[in-house]
Amino acid sequence: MLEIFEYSFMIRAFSAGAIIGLLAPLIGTFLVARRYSLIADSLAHVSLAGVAIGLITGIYPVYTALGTTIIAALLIEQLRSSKRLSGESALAIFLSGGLAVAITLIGLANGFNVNLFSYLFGSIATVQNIDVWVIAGLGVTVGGIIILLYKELFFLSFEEEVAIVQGVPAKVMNSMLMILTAVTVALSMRIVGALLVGALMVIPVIAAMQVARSFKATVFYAVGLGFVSVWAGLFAAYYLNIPAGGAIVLSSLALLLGSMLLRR
Amino acid sequence: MKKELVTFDHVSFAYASENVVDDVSFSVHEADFIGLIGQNGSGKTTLLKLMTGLLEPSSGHITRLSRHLVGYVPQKSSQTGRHFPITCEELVLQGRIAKRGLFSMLSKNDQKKAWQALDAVGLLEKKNELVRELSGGQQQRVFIARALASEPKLLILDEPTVGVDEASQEEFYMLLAALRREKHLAIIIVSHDVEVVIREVNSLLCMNRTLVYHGIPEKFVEGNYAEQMYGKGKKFIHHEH
Repeated sequence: MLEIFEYSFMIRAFSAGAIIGLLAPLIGTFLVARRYSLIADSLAHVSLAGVAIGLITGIYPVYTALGTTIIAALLIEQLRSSKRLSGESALAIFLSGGLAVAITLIGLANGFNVNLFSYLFGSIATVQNIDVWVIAGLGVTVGGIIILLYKELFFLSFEEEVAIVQGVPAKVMNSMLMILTAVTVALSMRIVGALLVGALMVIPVIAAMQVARSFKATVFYAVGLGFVSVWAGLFAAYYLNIPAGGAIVLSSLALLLGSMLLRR
Repeated sequence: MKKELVTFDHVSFAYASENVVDDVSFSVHEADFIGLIGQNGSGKTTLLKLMTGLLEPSSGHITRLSRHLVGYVPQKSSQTGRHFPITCEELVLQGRIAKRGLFSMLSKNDQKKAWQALDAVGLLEKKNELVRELSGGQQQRVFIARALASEPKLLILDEPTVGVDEASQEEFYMLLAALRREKHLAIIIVSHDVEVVIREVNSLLCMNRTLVYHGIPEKFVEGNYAEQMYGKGKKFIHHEH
């Protein structure tokens, strides 16, 4: 057996990473199709505010991050669908607003420390058993819901108005997609870090789009490439002693480059 | 007497406080072929959205078909299939999704209906090709096939011929004529290309916030309605065929 798997923290990182690697691009496919990829970044910044609340109150930060991202996701969807703000403006406001709240809270608590950085950039060494269990439990739930609602999410992501005209329950479905995105963002943070979550949701999808010959193939390739990116990144992080988040996203970028060359 | 599919009864719609659609009444009947014309900002798209149920009127009343009987083909700009990988069959199958309902898979029968719809627009042999790799005219036909797959009684087309070359445009109108003949579809078509529309349809709706004209195209050409809509100096030539 490889030396890398003799460390229990690496096994935890690979298990949690596998789930995140599969889940993030699966959600990402629907977001990219509706040209809404930036929502992942906005929610990731909001999730930092949740982490700050957790660090201050002593509650497990992934839980507080889940709470704040879900609330923010529903607010963004409300603003977008009511047309009071364009989707893009809503995203920009929550992106900077979330970060501002996070910085202020952490400053008040005088808490700029290693623990915070592990959420900003991801940290495989600090992944705990509880992280793996929460990621596994919620990851399977999110994946299951996506499979159940696959055809409606697929239609809405391509053409919301036509889907609504034909009677697809858009309000419920869109809110559901936002909640699933929020959960995925909050879970991914432990592995890739809040600042790079968006990349893992989007880059494997764009890579898949270069070579796929159908929507279904795009989904499968994106999920496969996401998984490969995470594991390749974790190996690189361990052997080259570099931060995992960066290594994972650089792996996905390498795969994107490869797929673009393949398409030509 | 032909059956009424959609009826507008003194319908108005306001964004903020200004009426963009003002006191409009008309009916769409079975097998009608209606051209909806008017300048930018005349309320055409709002009228379509009222018709499809995307908007509800501020005042007045609309009697609509149930949702799955309306096939809607929106303007090009909103069609994601033009940049995201999706096959023709996958796109047309979307037309079956609402019919199937939540938590159930599309069936062999849905696939059969999708193939029939692709066949009706002459693109069955392209079913496994990517929509984004088709020509502009073929893409337009795939989007129509998706609308047909839901087996509608009314087909609503918003600016379908924008960016389509003249030969494809001619084919396109031949396709619409065939659909009306074979499926007894009522069709509403929004177009900027007034001269072409006037030649093809058998009823015209002209919007300028309110309904300026509603009737057969011939009377529209004879009257001075074009001036009311587009300003002086605009004339239309009527072609017999």
